[in-house]
Amino acid sequence: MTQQTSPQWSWSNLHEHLITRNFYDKDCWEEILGHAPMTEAEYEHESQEAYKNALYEYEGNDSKKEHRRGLYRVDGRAIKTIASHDRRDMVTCYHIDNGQHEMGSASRPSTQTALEQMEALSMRMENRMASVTRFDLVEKNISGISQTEQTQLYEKERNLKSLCVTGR
Amino acid sequence: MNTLGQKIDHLDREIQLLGDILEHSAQTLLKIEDDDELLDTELRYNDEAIGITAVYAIRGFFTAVGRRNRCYRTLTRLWQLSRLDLQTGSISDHSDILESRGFNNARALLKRVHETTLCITLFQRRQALSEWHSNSNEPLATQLFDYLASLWREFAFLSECRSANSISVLMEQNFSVVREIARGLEFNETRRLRSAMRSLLAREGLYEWVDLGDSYNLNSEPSLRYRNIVNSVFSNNETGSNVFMNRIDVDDFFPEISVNLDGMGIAKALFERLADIISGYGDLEDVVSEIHHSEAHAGEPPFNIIPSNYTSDGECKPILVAFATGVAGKRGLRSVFRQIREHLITCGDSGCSGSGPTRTVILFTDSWDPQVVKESEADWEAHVSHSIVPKTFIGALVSGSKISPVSFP
Repeated sequence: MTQQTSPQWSWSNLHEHLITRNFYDKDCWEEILGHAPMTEAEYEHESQEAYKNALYEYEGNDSKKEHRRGLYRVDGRAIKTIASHDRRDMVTCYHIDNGQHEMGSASRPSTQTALEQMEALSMRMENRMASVTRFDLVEKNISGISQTEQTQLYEKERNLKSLCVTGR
Repeated sequence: MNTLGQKIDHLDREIQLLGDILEHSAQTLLKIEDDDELLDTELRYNDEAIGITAVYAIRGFFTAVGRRNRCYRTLTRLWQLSRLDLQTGSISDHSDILESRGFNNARALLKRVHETTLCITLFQRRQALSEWHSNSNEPLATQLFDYLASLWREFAFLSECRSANSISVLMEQNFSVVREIARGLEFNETRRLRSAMRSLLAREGLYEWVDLGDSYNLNSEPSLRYRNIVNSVFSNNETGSNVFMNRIDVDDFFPEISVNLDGMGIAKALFERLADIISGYGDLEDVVSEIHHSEAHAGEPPFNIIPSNYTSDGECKPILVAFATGVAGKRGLRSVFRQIREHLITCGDSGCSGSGPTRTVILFTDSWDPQVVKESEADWEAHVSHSIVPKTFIGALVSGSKISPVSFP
């Protein structure tokens, strides 16, 4: 059951990650926010929004070593938040851009963005680049979208669930 | 994990879903004339947004068709050992599929989507890749894998558009950029990426020995081999592609004396294929699961298998292939040895109920226990010494992607 409160940043972690994002992901955030660089308050706000509005979440290891066994949530803008398992601490937040931002990607329909990211995740899971123990759509955030969109997301979810590591 | 059979089921559902969406959106789609609009316009059905753009739906549909056909073709050839026509029929002109879904000028539409895809995927993304920064969010190997996997998906789409050969130059340009980046990987990351790419090819049914089909030889252009996706990345690496491919020297497994025996050529070819598959998957248990699901789709193979859905009431065949995972349990070495012994009692000398007595036993196992081997020693010796039909036993010990000979019996 998802808790109502979002994970919180520690000041030092927020500061450190803000510098990194403003340096490496400048184009992504500029397209999302409409300006750059973003402030600490904006980064914190966007990360909380991304966590809150995530379309799907999963647990496992799908990132750098220090983020192992985290809780991952991805929203319809392809902004990924990584939090601690107990959902208390925000570990990091960034835009999934496969190395370089593709201009215009932020304006694509959120369902399509989620489907594309879920497909990429399924490839990683299937071929052991990611180890995921649980995958779920965030029901409350997809309840308002059309039936056709939900059907597509549930179909992808079904495939991702079948790829979860069972611990053998 | 997904077996080829399960993947086909999944892709079938995706084809159905996207096909329905395209059919419902046909009228909207056909009105779009501008390429940018084609990329960005969200499709609507009964005035309701459906969350995807036209280009996503079309590309997704044909990618699924391409992947599904590839998996099916591979599955069929894996178990029949001879070329059979696709039961679904080959798709010679994919614009027909759209036309059957209500698109009047499908060929022109497909051409536009194709060109747009080419532009985005192979040109713009290569430029973006050139400026790749190493201090990114994800591990570099993960990013490279995502990129290569997405290239493969695009390739599956483009190949269904019968354009695989025309894009080979662009693909190679992309690979050369990836190759440069891959050189910066740490040893463990290189190993992880290689392993994932091998797995990707196996799980998508892209075995080196599988024919790519006539559609890849249009205009007498040389075929693009899917293996090149991997080799292109690693061929100039220090360790070389041969290590990556982990080629199995089949002769190490087959006693010289028996190679000329009747049917040994077939056994050897079969062993090579299975070794290639196991090496590709990197996990024997996955392969055993694959076999179980494959039988359901492709029917009974022309050799006996342990464990199998058909073993109990199947016919005797000249080759028996056994897979053991672990020592104990239903699929363990002890149980598999017992099943082999039982099989040889029934099919060792008499092949009346099938296509002949069993002459060759091939065993792949991921565990080896001398105690268990000893338990069956007397039976093996009896089969080798007293059987009317000479027997050859081929043992292969599997450890991840590595396969080495074991003395069996």
